[in-house]
Amino acid sequence: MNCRDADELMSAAVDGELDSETLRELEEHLRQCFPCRMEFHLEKITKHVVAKHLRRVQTPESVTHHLFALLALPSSTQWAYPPHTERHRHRRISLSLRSSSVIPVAAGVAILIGGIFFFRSGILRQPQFGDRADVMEAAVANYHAFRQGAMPVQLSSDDPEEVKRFFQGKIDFDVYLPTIAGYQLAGAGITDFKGMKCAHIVYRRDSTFIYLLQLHLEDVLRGVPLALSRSAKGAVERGDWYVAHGKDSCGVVIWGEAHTLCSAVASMRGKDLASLFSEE
Amino acid sequence: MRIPKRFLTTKDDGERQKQLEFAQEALPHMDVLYNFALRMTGNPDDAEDLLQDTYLKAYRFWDKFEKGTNSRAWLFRIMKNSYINRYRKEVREPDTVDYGDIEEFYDSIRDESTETTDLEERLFGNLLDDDVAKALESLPPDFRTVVILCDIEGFTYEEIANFVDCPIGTVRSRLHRGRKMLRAKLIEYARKRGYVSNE
Repeated sequence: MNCRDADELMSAAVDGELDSETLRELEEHLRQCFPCRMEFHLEKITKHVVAKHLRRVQTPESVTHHLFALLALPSSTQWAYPPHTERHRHRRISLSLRSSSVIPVAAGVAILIGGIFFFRSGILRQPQFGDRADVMEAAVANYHAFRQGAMPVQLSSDDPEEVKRFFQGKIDFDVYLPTIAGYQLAGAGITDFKGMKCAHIVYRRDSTFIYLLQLHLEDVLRGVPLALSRSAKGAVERGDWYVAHGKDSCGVVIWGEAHTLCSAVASMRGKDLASLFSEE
Repeated sequence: MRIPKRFLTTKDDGERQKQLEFAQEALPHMDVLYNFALRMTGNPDDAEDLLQDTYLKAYRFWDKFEKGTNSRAWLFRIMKNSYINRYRKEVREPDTVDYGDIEEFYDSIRDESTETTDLEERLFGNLLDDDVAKALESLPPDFRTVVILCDIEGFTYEEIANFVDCPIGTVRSRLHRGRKMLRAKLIEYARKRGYVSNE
């Protein structure tokens, strides 16, 4: 083997792609030839330096999320291109969220990509809540996260039976799936907040959404890890509706339904939201 | 990555079937494609754009994909073409490698016994990740491609040949030339950072 042959085989030798016979011949040559030996070392080093410094990364969640949203778009132009906000989604989602004019499209898309994500970025896992979180704050934050496309649903369905089946065996309380005049079920999901199961249910009418966070009532009344404010707790214990105004002009209604604590959030006055549930 | 059980945006069964198939076949390769895009473009934003292009095209032409063949290679070829279309202007001839540096380097180590790890530390020990990324980006696309696929993704020559649609011999020679160019760049950067080869 001469230097020219050796040079041709250099990369294959470094990558372990030579058969043993050829490798032996090459080694024989390298033993005798310093420049080729050096060349071989340098090739090996170069490969190693690349592998060492340029490690594989995982596709950022924001990228996959955005891509799924795009892929789920029907080819018609009915759905506008979703906004690029997800690119910066790794920022903490603040509780004082932006005006409610934001992106019904993103919410629509979030509905569309139902099932693809498992609430990975669910706000309930955000560190800002510490060990204990307020149900109302969590529900409002979830609602906004959802509307901004940051918190898609696991299941897309308008069929209450399917949604019930989805929750079956996964949570230790009955989900409450009311019929809401003018609205349709849109999707559902489950997360775990420090051992407490959280059921998420979304209804929609066009681009208006109602988000429901449902929890085990008795657990919530015990107050760990998700708790009610004193006034909300009082109302629930009395069997009343607790109606409030969340930040960013959304209404919140909290009430108990058998063993289930429901807290609903939507971009409307709390009173109007409550009336949607009491009409049933 | 989890494969979505449901991917439905439509009540149309045919479309739904297509989405399901696509999700199962194409989505698992996202990490490979993203990494490739990241190293080819050199920045996350462009990588995301390229990834999107690729998947949107793949979805549009999903019926052209031959079932049972290598979907990763198919996706990869789409990405490569998207890359070329997008960055066509930038495709250029290889930089002239300055072998002077390397000659000089040989002279400095000629009489020493050398261990590969020791040599690596002395030569490139002060390089930063960014230096290596920049050096890689300086390679012409064909060479960059094989280096990424081999040294970062760890594919075999056969797989790479399938991906880039050329004979294995070509993969081998591109890798060798690519690494030579890369090495010259790395030496240049290491030198700027002040490596001391004569110590």
